[in-house]
Amino acid sequence: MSKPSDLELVRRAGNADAGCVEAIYDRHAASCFSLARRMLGEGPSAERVVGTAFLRLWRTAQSFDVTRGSVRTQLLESVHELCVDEIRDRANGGGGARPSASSNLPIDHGLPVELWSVLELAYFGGMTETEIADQLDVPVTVVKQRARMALEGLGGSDPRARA
Amino acid sequence: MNAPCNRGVDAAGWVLGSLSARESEEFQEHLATCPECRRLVTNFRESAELLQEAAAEASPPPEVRERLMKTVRDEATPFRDSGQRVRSARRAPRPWIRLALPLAGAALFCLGAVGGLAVAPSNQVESPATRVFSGSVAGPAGRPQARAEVVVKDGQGVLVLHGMAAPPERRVYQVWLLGSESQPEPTSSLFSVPRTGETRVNLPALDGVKHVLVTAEPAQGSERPSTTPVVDVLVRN
Repeated sequence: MSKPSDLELVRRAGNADAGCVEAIYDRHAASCFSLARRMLGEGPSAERVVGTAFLRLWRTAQSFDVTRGSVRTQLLESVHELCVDEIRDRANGGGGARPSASSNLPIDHGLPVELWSVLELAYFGGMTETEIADQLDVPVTVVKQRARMALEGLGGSDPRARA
Repeated sequence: MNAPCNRGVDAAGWVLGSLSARESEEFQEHLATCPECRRLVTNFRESAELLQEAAAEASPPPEVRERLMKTVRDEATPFRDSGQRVRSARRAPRPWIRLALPLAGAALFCLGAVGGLAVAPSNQVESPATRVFSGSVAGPAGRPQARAEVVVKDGQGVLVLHGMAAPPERRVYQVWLLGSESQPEPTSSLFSVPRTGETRVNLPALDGVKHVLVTAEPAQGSERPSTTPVVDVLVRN
């Protein structure tokens, strides 16, 4: 008997089937935790974010919108959003250093360093475009332009896109 | 040929989460009316998926799973055996109500006068043991389609919010319970709202409670409401 799809599990969770959350967690918790730890570092924050992201999924399962992406994609987006909030809270509270524009990603993104820096600071560093502009000493309009070019370039560097 | 939408410059920042809170809110509203920007966002989200997968794999400790599932099972209890988790209740017109709530500093405010909350007595019975009460979302928290409901089963309630805007920057939403007293009781239910605007919040026991209220408060919550309630659900026990 085949395993239920993620979407099927979410639908059942929307009908208060708590066990389905457990199944979804077992499939995607590691990826969510990996992203959270990449953004927040070691410590309880990454664990808290992962728990919150799955709780969000549970609480909104009944209105899950398939047009916004797969269950996995939406979980990871939720983790990212929570991590950005945490990073900005830390920064506003004076705790924790902001990231520098250096890459240690295990992907061959193939992007020029000035484009990659914007992605790194924005996506993993949780910085706003204004903060990135200050750090890189360029106008905000340039940051917006580089962010767009970086995502366009990253899409083009996806091996799945080339196939 | 149509000129490109000039708001498209924010599409990448929106996907990356690097817009300011105000820019993000404005762009989200713009997306509802601009197919060109929606297409851009769809493309950029596909690119961002590569970033999501770019971290070295690591597993969370088992306590994370245990804590999550305890909460999930607790929240599932009020809906168990009801056959329906949440259903929209029919709303009936009703004169606006006015509630006097003491603010810090002893100032008073009235929901009817300040927030303009219309509250419907929607205590429609969903099943012998499940009731759904509908309320309203007002102020900046309320998008046009925003709705608030309290679902009660066996004395346990869950606040269900649809189309709710995120709290203002540096704030969280806090749930308050108002009975026959003039002052609402604070709860430890602090929450934010994801971009979808959908969320569910477990409520404490609702014995004697007439109104479930939500205000935007500092991150640690407040002992007394410091802002006008943005959600009010009339609960008839």
